[in-house]
Amino acid sequence: MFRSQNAVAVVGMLVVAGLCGRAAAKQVKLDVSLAHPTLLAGAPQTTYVKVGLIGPAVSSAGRRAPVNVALVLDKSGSMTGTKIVQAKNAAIHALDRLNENDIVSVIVYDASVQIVVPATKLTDKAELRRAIAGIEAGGSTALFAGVSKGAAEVRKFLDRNRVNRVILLSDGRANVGPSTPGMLGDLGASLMKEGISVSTLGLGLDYNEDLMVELARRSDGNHMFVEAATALAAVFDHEFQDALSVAAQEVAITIRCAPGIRPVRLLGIDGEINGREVIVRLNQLYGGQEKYALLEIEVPESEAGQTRPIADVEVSYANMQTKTTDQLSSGISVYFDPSTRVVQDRVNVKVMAECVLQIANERNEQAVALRDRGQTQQAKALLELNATYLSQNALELKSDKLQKRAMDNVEQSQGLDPEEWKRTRKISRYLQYEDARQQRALPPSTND
Amino acid sequence: MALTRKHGILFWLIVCLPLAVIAALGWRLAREEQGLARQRLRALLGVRLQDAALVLENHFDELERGLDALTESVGHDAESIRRLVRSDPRIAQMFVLEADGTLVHPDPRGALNDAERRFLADAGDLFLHRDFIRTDGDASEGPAGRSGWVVRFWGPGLNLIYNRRLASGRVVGVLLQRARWIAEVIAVLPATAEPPGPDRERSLPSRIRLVDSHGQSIYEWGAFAPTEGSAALEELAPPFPLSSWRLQYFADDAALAVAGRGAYFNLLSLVAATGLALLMAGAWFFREYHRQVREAMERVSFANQVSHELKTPLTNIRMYAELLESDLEEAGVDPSGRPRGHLKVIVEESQRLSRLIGNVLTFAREQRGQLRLRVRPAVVDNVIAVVLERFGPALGRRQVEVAFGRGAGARVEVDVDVVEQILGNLLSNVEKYAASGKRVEVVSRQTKGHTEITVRDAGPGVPPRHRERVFRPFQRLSDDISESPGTGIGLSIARQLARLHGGDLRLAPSERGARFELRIATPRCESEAGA
Repeated sequence: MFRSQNAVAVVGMLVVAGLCGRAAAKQVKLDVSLAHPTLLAGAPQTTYVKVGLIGPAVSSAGRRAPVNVALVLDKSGSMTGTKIVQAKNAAIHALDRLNENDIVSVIVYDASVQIVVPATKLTDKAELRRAIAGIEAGGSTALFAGVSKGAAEVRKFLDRNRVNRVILLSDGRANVGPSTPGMLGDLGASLMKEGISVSTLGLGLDYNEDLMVELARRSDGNHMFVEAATALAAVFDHEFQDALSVAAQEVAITIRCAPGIRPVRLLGIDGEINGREVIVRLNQLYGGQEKYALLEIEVPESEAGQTRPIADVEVSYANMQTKTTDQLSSGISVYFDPSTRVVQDRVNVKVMAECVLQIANERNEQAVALRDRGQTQQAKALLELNATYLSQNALELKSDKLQKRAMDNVEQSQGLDPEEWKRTRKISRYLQYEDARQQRALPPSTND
Repeated sequence: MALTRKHGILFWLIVCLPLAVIAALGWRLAREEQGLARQRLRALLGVRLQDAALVLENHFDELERGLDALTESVGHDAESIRRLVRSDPRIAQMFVLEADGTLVHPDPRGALNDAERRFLADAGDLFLHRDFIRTDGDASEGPAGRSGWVVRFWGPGLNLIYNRRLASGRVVGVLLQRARWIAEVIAVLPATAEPPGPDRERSLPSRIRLVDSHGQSIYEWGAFAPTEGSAALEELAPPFPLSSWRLQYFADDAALAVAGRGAYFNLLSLVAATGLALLMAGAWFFREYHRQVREAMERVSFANQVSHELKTPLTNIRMYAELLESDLEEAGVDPSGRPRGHLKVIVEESQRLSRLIGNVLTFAREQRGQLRLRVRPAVVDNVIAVVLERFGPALGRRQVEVAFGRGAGARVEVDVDVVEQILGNLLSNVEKYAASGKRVEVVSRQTKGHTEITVRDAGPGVPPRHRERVFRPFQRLSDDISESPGTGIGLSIARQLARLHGGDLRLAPSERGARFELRIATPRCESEAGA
């Protein structure tokens, strides 16, 4: 009898373990780490907390979360010719990735907005293709209105069990209605609160990259720089691929710093700092992809041999595969050592590399600002300095990513003359965004 | 054809004058019509704008209801408020005030995040006013107390703050996220229909534009794309809290002008039609008139032709009659005998025939403007005497006594034939109509440059009302041909000739019979030489 009880217990545990394992396989993985797991004792210190989230793999198309997407296409005068043709073809082509459970709407804008296809389930692809094919370009650019109407279409079927997204394609400067990066960014932020992200695709060399990046950044969407209209098909493809691989939505990260620890700022991401509490929100996590938040903290003077709690981290999110709201928590502490050498040896190179990347990004933004003001020489100097900073750290931290970025920086520093600047600026903004958001890069063949 | 020009002018006057009047009146009418059409159109546009304004009003009403519920239920601690601000897309910031105006949240003495600090910096002045709850516009009495909008301009433009005084006396306020409420306004307003739907009025493409207080377009919709800088046809202020903004209506001005142009088109076609009608009528009448004139001319020409033809044989008859008379006289035939009496009749009748033909010829010539005066020196009295002698037998046969008062013995320049013809006509009339008076008196008088001859009879006379009529051609006071022979042109001829001779013939009033006064211009001859 004892033996059968044991057997039952063992089998029971195995089953539970198995179940847990399976459940765990669909959960987001939370990883909290420090740039310096060991800090120098005897003086106040600055280091970085990294909150890393890895989305679980999303199983094949059969069980993926349905999509609720609005395509917002610029049809202003600058789009006439091959651009609008390519855009339309790309949109039609990309729709093949969706099925009848998905909801699509198509909005076009010039000075005013037209709802070509209001939000409907994708039952009749031929009809949709026809409607898109009928789009003609000409007029000015009411980008804000286009996005507003697109969001309104998405809102009709807003569902936390769907991936709700607006995909905006524009080649020009917004000139009707609110047209500043600030306004578009605010709109993006308010849309993210509802769970709608806006991905922005900038076509050609004349779009306003600040505006497009702000809109994407604050709504947690993607941003792409599409230099040639021929690349649009691949870009749309990539965007839809992303939308179909969302593993978690409405991600809320709360970092509660321990007493004495002062949160200074977040790197590369927006958040709220209330005293010792830091709140960060992400709209989505993709399957098999890591997103992180970096928080700079000040640690007070501590004694050697001491272990200090740094922070407690809580994460909640909507799991798109299990359709549940999951919660995760973790904590982290730091150890103090009197030896600089020890501190140095124990640096978490991966986290440090990510911090360097974000800091370099900030400097790049400064360089762009300098160049905008006409101070080309200072901009060049800063970019070159940044390149050096990046390559030095690349060596120390053994990071390929940093090395690549160093080379990108050198390239940018050589592209500051007026003919090249438009393009360089767009590339710069795009790369900055990619790094800040850990955006999945396009396959190399598309952006040559 | 001097007449034609005058008639031509008259014709054009007849055509153009009424046309001008119609055009002028019609223009005024068309203008009024157009003005009315424009007014009606503006009213229609106003209605469309009001539809849009109503959409906005409903939207804000709904927004207010939502915000009322929100401000009522939210906890006043920092945690609850921050959570709400994080999760509600409409909210940029929230604040809570005590009844006395001190800030509960964001608490300036507490730990504030960056956004809260910025908010206090931007909107701080709001809270300095102790009686803050005095709202700018619509303040409605809700179940718990007063609530309303406060409108403030900072940053990119208009900012909306909704606040509500709770039963406890505290005030809870919400600063709306600007980009969000604008996006919601855009979402609730129509998009441009594609293709334009059935609500297009009279197929006039139009556009409605919502502009902010600087006149910048916030959002617009409609099939028409107005040109840069063109003015709106109609404007309307949206309801509070957007009253500093404007709804503007644009439409194709050219198309509108076409709409009003209908009245002008009507006017133009009316004028054209009338003008055409008048022209055609005028042309017809002109043609008719010309035809009549031409026919008259042809008749005259015919009469002329005939008379000329008649004249030659007549001259022969007279000549041979007179020759025969002198033959008979030479042959010593008894003058009172029958042969010579018959001959006398032949001569008289042929003379009369001559006179008649002469009249017709003169008439014809006059009609064709070919009447000419041929003056030569003569003594008027002698001319009168000749005529009287010629008429002697005829008058004698009717027992008409002839009296001649000589008074024109001077030698003057005179057209003898004309004088003869005039007198002939007058005496012929006496013979025809006034023989019953048994008497005719011919008196001549002469002044320096004129000669006057008066022919008076004692017949029935001419009634006063017909005194001018007698001089008109073809007019006889009685149409009974049997009553009085004659062609009816005698007096008219006589007057024409008198006037040709620088004078006139008139019928003077008299108590008994007719009194014709002839006056002609007869300048004295310079030399008295010659007979």
